[in-house]
Amino acid sequence: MNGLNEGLISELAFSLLRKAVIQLPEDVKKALRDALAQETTNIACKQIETILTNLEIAEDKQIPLCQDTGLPVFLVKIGKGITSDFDFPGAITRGVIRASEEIPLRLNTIHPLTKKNTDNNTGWGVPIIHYELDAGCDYLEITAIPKGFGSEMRTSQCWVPTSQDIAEAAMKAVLDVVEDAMGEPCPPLLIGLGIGGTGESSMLAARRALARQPFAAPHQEKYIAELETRLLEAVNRIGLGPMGYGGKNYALGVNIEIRGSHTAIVPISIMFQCWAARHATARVYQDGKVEME
Amino acid sequence: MTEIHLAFPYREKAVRKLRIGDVVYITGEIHTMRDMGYRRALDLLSQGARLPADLKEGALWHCGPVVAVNDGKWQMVSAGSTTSSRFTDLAAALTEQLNIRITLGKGTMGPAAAKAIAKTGSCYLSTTGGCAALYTQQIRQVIAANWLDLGYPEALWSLDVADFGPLMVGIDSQGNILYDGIRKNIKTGLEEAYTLCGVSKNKSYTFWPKRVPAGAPCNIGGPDNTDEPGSGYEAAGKK
Repeated sequence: MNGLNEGLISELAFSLLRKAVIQLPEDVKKALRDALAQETTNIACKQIETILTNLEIAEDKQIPLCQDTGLPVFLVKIGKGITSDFDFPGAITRGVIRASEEIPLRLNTIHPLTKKNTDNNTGWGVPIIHYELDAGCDYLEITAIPKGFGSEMRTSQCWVPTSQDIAEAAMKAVLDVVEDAMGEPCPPLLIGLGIGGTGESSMLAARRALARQPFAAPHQEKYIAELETRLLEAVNRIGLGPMGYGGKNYALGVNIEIRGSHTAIVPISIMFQCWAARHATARVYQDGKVEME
Repeated sequence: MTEIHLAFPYREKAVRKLRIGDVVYITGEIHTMRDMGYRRALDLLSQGARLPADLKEGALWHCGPVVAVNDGKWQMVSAGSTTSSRFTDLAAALTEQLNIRITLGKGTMGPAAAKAIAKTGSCYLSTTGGCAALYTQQIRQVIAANWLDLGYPEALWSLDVADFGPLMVGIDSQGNILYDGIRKNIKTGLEEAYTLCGVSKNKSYTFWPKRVPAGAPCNIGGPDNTDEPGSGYEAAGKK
């Protein structure tokens, strides 16, 4: 009997979303507390203190920490030997519908043209599920990312000819976006970059950069890790700080992912993740055993 | 950082005393409004129709809440602010037509809204973004729910709040915009950031779009528009 069944996946989609919208991961909370310790002005401290109090209330009352419970995004990694004989996206979708009713989530999903709300956070490709095959593991990994749109709507992509210095271009692009966005995407935030690839793979690389675990861990390649550090220092040097009212912590991290690129031109994709960097991950084995972080 | 408490009905005289950067808490009636609600309100007013809630001289909150029904009663589960700059033009129109005294949201609004705020002697107050769990504790009850056909987030919710805050004055009755001051303050920091990266602020690296991000975002008056925010000052006859 296949232990990895429809009910289990549906239950997991529900419980991962529930965990994600109520409780921030410990590494994100620590990054916020560290940021508070660095701030020196009343105005900057007040913003982060309010955020930390908000997190306590959400956990205490078991309510969504932010009203924008986002569009439901799932990253799914399928390891070697994992098989399913059921409607996998259907199971995730049922979990989302249950989460929308029971937690509840905000009913965010509408038809993009008629604006009709489905009242259950699904429809026309939502929940959004990104699959990845990975022969290097023997489990199924599901990460729920409820993505709020205050930060999502700052997403940018630009194209840089290979006659230019790409790292410089990437830094310039990030500084430009930050200068325009100021406090609106809810800093202290995380900046994700996808450099290279086609348009869509570059953007997905930026999404995966934001989902890196642990939060804001350095890239494995030294050259890229140095670029991340340099850009983080530069972004914070601007002085916009928490909620953009001035201070030292506009960004808690800069995560960069790269993809092989066309010899003519390199896409640079930029995504913001607000301080409410909500995500929850579980691993499921073929026998139905579940490991939750 | 001065802390000020305001209670419903929100008096023009009290609102006119607020200055950008002040921290405010409010008690009394507020109504939620966002994209589709603004559209409907303005459409109804243009047709000479009445709105289902009395917004005149009231407080409007840029908020789309998470809502539940408990024992047949509406309950705010998690309610916090959405990004206000999207509503610059809509808020400018409604502020003038209904003499909206307090607009609440997150971030800022552009020069057009600041102009309307200066004209009416009202204000814009900004919450700490994302902190819905906290602000929800300050909502005493749901007074009314209207326009539910727009979906819960877009509906017009009338709420009774107590010591609702912290709220930062983002635009004051003279049309001063908190973000304009911040833009000036970060000039040195920006220069240092460019130096750290070894890039020139004026160099263009991109083939497409010519500027990143493309175009002026959301009418908030990006760095290219910094000559304009004075519009608020002028309307108030300040500068």
